[in-house]
Amino acid sequence: MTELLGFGWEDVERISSDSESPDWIKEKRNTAWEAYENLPMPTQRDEMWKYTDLSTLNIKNVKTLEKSKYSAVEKFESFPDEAIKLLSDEAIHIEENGGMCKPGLLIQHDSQVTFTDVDEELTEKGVIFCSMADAVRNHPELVQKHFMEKVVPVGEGKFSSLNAALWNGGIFLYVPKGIEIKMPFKSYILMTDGGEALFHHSLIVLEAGAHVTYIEQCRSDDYSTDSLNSSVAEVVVKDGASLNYMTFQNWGNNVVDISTRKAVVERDASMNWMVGTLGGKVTRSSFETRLIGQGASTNTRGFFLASDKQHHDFWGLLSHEAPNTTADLLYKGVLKGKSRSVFRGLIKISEEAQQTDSYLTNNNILLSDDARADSVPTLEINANDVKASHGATVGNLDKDEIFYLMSRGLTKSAAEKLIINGFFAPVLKAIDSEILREHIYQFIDKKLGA
Amino acid sequence: MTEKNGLLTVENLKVKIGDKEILKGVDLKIGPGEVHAIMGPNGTGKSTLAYALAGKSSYEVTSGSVTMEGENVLEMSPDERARKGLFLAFQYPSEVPGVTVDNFLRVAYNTIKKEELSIWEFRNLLKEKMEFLKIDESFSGRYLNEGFSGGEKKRNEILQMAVLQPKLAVLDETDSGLDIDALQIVAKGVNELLPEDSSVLVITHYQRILRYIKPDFVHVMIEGRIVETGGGELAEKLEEKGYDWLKEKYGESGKDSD
Ligand SMILES: Nc1ncnc2c1ncn2[C@@H]1O[C@H](COP(=O)(O)OP(=O)(O)OP(=O)(O)O)[C@@H](O)[C@H]1O
Ligand SMILES: [Mg+2]
Repeated sequence: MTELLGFGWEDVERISSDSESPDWIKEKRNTAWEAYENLPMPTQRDEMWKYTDLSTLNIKNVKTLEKSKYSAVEKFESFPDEAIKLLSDEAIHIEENGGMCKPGLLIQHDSQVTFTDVDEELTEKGVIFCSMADAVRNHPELVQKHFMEKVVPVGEGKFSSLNAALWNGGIFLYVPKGIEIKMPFKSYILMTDGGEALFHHSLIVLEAGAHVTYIEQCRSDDYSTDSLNSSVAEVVVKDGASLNYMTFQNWGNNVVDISTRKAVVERDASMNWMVGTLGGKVTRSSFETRLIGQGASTNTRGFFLASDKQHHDFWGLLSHEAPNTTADLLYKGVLKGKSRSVFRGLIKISEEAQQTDSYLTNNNILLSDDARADSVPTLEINANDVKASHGATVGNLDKDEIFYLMSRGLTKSAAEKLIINGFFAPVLKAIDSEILREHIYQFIDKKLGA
Repeated sequence: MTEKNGLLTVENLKVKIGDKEILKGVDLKIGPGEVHAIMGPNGTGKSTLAYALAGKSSYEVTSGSVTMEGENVLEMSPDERARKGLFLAFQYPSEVPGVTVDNFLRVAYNTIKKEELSIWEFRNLLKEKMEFLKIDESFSGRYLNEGFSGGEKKRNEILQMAVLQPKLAVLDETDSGLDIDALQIVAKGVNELLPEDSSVLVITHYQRILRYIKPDFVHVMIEGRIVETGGGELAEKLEEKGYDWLKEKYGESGKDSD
């Protein structure tokens, strides 16, 4: 078998040669590379990778971009045209807000965060929102103890270890105790070339009682050569804090995305995920939530719309490790063309996690005979006083519903779109921002076609 | 008066579902502003006629014709028929999860009326009709028919009719399952919320709705045919005598007897 990826030790060395990078992070890269080399490349014989055949991917020659060719821009208007094009909705948003990006906006172009705008009042209060590269230099006391330690330890996975060795982008968000911010922190990750390898690594730490929302959006155009994005996001939500983490992936049609996002949620804290997958060629996304403190809760909402030969592989873990924890995961997908999806979800309840409630639901609609959706929800329960349930459906659009709507004048395609929007509604209504929700609905509309 | 005959003409309509012939040659003429009623035993094909008029795809028309204002309805898709002014209040309306009543009806209204009413403009229009039909305001934000009671679904059908202003409203057992107050409200809606020259075809088992919506013609359907046509008094006679006398005359053995 030929190698899936063409990275080598020299890539780690080249990235580490950056003089601004501190020693501890260089060491981390080294250990992570070692772990990566020692772990076998997953195959379909591994339960976790049963539905995604990595050997068919054509990403051996993707290049890591350790220093982006783009330099920092002061003003939104100064972005190169290809970036502006990908940010059209955000540009409107900023304009409507009189040029303000409060509480914070970071834009990463290839591997470089080239635009940063953070509310200074928040900075004074100790809030940090910056690129990961800046964070390891300027805030080692906050970053070092979390970076690939307890949340996603080095060696846990092949791809997360590779990410730790070669990471070349990402953000750090730190919110001190008790700070509540209504408006969302936002980041965009843009790729404006084919053949790239992006290893995005993010870390979010919320101290006790902090409440924030973070919206992350990945975008690129379609290019002729395949690219790879392999992200890791680590999240720590301390006692009584709450985080809404929304991530929308809208890569061009030749991006392979293999990402792991994981949160550790402490006592009475809550972690809400929103996951939207619209673009990409092959997307493997993993969302794991560990409820380690009593009274911790999580709510995950996800949706995808796949077309052509897109492949979506979703893995969700709800891990109850303390009493009185609650979890609810709802994941909805629509598939057209020859697209393919798999949902695997696991509710895991440990012995001490009594009085927990946990729900896992996956619903799929197939719009073509050639599309296929698999759904594998599972329970692993070791406590006796718990409520847990899971459900999964794969079906077609209801002919009677279509006829009913058509009998009110809607064309067939308008009727189908309305039913699909209705299908997604329980997920999309969790998006507060009307501009963002509208942007997503428009994208769905366009992708569904006439 | 030539246009008196002009709205809907059904001639010798035969409809199959699967292998089974349900409508065996229906003739019906409805003029502008007229109110017609169709009565008949269960399973004789009344809903089949309603669905065939609305264009449900599993209903195969094997012969006959349907024209509306001279145009061939059978060649039109269900949405074209709706845009032409045909409306069917369903006997069993579908539930459409996630689609709110107001959003759906605004899309329908804008499509049929070829307008572009904003959410706010439409909301006012809808509110007025809802008040008339004594439908609680909260219904506009609810998902279409989801969790609606039987009576609420029926009232919601009439609300849609009132908003879309059809030329011909076919009401398939809209009166079934309504309490007495609701029946009066719905009847009042049919009488007062439609344009003056709109026509109504009421499919019903009960004479009581016809006390409020006065029919110009009452038809009786037996085994896929309209076998008897009369005025309001025919409905009274059916209520009194049932269908047996007609079944004997036109059913199984009796058919083609003259
Ligand atoms: N999808 C179907 N497949 C097979 N037979 C059907 C189907 N739909 C209706 N039928 C049959 O067609 C016949 C006429 O049904 P229809 O619903 O038109 O009756 P109806 O006169 O409206 O009755 P009711 O008064 O009970 O509403 C019935 O015998 C019914 O069983
Ligand atoms: Mg019927």
